[in-house]
Amino acid sequence: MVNEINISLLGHKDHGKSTFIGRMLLGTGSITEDRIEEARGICRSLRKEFELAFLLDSFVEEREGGFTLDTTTAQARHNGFIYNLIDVPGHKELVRNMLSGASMADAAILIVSAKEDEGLQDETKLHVFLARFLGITKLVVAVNKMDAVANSEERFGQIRSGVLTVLESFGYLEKDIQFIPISAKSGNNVLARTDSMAWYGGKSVIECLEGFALNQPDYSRMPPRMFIQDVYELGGDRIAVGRVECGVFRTGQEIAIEPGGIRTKIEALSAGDGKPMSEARAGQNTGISVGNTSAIMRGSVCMDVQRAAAPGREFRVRLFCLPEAELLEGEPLELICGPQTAACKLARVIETMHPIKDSGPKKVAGIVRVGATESAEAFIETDTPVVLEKFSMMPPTGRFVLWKSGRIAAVGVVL
Amino acid sequence: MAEFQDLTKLEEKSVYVLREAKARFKNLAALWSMGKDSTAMLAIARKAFFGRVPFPVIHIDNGIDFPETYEFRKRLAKEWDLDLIVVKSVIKDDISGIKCCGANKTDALKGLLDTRGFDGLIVSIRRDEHGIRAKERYFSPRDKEFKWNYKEQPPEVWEYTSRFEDTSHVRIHPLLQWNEVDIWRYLRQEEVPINPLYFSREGKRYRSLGCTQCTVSVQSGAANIDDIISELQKTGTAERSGRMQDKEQENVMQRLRALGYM
Repeated sequence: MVNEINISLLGHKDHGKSTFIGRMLLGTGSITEDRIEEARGICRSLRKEFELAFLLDSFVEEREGGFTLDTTTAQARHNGFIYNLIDVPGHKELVRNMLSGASMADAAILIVSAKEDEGLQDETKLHVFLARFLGITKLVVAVNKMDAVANSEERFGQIRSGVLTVLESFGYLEKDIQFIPISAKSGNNVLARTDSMAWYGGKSVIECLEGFALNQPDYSRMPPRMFIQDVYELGGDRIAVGRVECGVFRTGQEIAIEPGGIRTKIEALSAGDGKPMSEARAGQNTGISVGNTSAIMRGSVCMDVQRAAAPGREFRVRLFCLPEAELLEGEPLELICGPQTAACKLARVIETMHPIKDSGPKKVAGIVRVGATESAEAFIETDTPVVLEKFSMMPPTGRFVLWKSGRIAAVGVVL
Repeated sequence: MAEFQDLTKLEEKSVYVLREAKARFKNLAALWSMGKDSTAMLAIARKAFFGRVPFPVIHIDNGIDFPETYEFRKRLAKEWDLDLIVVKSVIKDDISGIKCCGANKTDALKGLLDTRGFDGLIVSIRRDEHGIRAKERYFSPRDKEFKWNYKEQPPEVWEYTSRFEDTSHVRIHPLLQWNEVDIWRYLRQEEVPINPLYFSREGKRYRSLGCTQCTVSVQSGAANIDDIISELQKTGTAERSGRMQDKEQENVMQRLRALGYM
């Protein structure tokens, strides 16, 4: 079976994220010639030099303005691996679009320009913070535009130490991060290592990505969890359907369904075409016959009885408030965690931090507000019991969004 | 080696999205063009909903589709017991592009959604078809004028966490992650009936299907699915190269989609 991985690009605008993806598509032969020719034609009509970014940036506004407005995914296929490369906008105002892309990533590439007037910028910090927030541990830092600084080892070293300080301030460890000098424009060190930077003895970007793809977590080894998506009435039977998020469910297994305190045994598992399944593993959709238990509904969480989490109403969380929103203690919010939802409020803010402006968390007494683009550690309280677990242990039931006045105001993880 | 996506994973994801759509919208419908993608979507829906497609399928018919397409519609609607809605779109003066696909087809769809009150519409687009389609989300709201406000797309953090208020309807895209070749591999694996226009006759076949006026056939000797799959691995041209509405100007697809085109 082919090895597939989702990789988000990160970094400041104009540092070359879209160009990098364009290079990957071109270098791996994953794009048809006429699409490349079309992009060339558009560059000509806009009187611009051909840019690889045009293979990704397809909105008129993006092409004319030379920036990425919204996230997009392109697939590079190489050497038995499939890389779903997620492009994201660099502008901090567009962080909602960045999160839409980056939240689906298993790994990330941080692009930082080596050019004298570019280097380490605000958005670089914000993206590193969010990558850490989203739980992305597999990260490479590609120091781009090395061709514009005469492939200077010294400049690479400067950028490396500056970025490393930021990475460490957000909890990354030096030993886990690979720094690679590249030129997305010319392709140096992207797919193959290059002689023009003979001083660099490490891996190319794609070699690192292969390593990431080979070392992905096996969700089926974790404690079993499934959100009930819906309950179908079928020929007198009621079947609760959902996708197994973690672990394996088997017929005969004792399960807990929460909230509601239901304990039952799996009599039968069925695929969506009605065929019986002896087991359902992480990633598979399945249906569980539930008889006439009416307490089982969309949003219930199905777990192995031995390794079940208790539902609760108060949770310690980390939040990130989107740029167009703010959160106030006590105001009505809605928590959404997969199909599970509950009315909730921010009960108490412990500390806040602005990932760009602040060097560390602010622990001031009497904080009642989390401002735009701020992160916070806080307690939330739901009106009804929900199943939430530590994000670091159980990602699917550990992450959520907070909904306020018709839009997503914040993203959160359970501590 | 050929790096193909895992069909099982692709199908699981699509089943999940279809079930989300069914659970979240009161009045769901799907567009069915009788082409390979929307037919594959229906095959997946039958596997998601225990053998039967549980929502109406809409064909926007401008009256000039190929005879084979009408025949295929009749046959599959019967075989799969589909709740088929045919809505006639009126061809005005100008055929193809913004005016035809945009105005005529979109107007017909607007009229239908008004009468029937559909709040969720399943559309079988894929990211790899077109750069603009690659910018879409799985769940994408359209406003009362049917416009796609692509500059203000709601975030889709982790999975499907958006809610939709004050929208005309929401487009649902369960096949976003599929590639053209995956669709063919899936149709072969599942033995799904296929519109015969996709197979070579007298050295030509259709790779992407629209109506008789704006679809151009490509040179091809591919007479069965195996041939099509090997042809796609060698091709240097994009799938929609035979579709005029993608070509007139470089940003036609963006304008069409912003106006409500599928």
